[in-house]
Amino acid sequence: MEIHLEPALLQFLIVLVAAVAASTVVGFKRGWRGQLVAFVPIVVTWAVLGAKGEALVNLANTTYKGVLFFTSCSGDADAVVCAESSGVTTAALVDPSSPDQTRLLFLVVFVMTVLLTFLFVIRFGREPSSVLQKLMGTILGVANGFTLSYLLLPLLPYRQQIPLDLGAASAEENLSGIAPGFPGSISVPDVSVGAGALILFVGFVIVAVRLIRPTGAQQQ
Amino acid sequence: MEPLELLWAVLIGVFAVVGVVRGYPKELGVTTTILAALLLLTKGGESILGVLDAYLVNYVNSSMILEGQYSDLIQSLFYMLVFVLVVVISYHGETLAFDGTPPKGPLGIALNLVSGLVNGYLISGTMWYYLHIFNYPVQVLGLFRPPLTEFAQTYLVPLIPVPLLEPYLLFLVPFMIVMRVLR
Repeated sequence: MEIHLEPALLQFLIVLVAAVAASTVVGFKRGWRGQLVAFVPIVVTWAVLGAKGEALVNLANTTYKGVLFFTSCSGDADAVVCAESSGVTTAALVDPSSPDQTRLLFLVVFVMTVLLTFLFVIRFGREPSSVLQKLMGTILGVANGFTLSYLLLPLLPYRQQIPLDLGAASAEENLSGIAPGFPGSISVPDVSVGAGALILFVGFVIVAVRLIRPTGAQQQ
Repeated sequence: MEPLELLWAVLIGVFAVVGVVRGYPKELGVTTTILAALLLLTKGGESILGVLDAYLVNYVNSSMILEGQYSDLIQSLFYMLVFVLVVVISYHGETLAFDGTPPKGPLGIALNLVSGLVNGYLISGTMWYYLHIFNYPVQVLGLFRPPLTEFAQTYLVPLIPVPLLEPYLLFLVPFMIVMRVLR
């Protein structure tokens, strides 16, 4: 039997397998604490990209202009004329009006953050003290990997071709992806609201659980 | 007829009181069950309905659940009844309650209150969601009739928990189980 993998499906599978595998390895090697440490910056980055993406595009363009100016006009006596004549003032690394280019920038930033976070946790995290800790880290790692792929997929170029209900919460027009066949409509909230709620909730649960007092039977 | 947000607020208030009375270790167990139910409904609800519909087609010769005259009402009731059933089970007895007792004093009361509010928000918000996406089919039964108030449309509908939490449910459910095991 021959299986034809469409580019969109292939891309989906690669992202899903890579995200779950990497996250599971981190969970296995660094336990559930390492997973939590890794997950917070990932979600925060995702939220910041959603809320402040435009500022990031401006920052990337400004930095690009600075580098161009430095390489083209640093030796010139009249830097202003040089900048205008060499096109530095109008140069742009990312066209803000192009969704593909901005999405590519977001993808690069997000993937870099994920890789750096995983490397940081692997390098500086502690080995789990027991098999149970490793097991819990692995379970959380698998779940975390799925969530990571969920956040990553909407940034990919083939996203529109994938008829899956993944990553659709980021845009109202993709609502049919969340709930195909549902006749109603709902304004899907900004992803940063969800990420903020998630961080507050996880923080609350961790604090609340740590404050639980053991019962008499547990103390004995 | 009273606006829907009033009912929503009253429900959250009731669950907040329940949280204060029961204590947050038990409420966190309910939260775990609610999140698991949301994961089940968002990932598998449509598949379950599809299987049921395909089964019923053999007897009534037409799609009753997904395309019939009352399909919105049936689907909405299905999601809400399954959810309510899970919530009732989770409140009945110890179930997944975390071991231990809350700290004494104002801190304990505050944590109980917050956990009750969270559960109230999740429960009433989920019910609202499954009414909203099916265009409030309960109006067939003479119950609430849209439109929503401007306040609800602007501030409350965007905060309905299901689309807000859906991307993170796969993380949240194991997270709660891990916290339960650690406790």
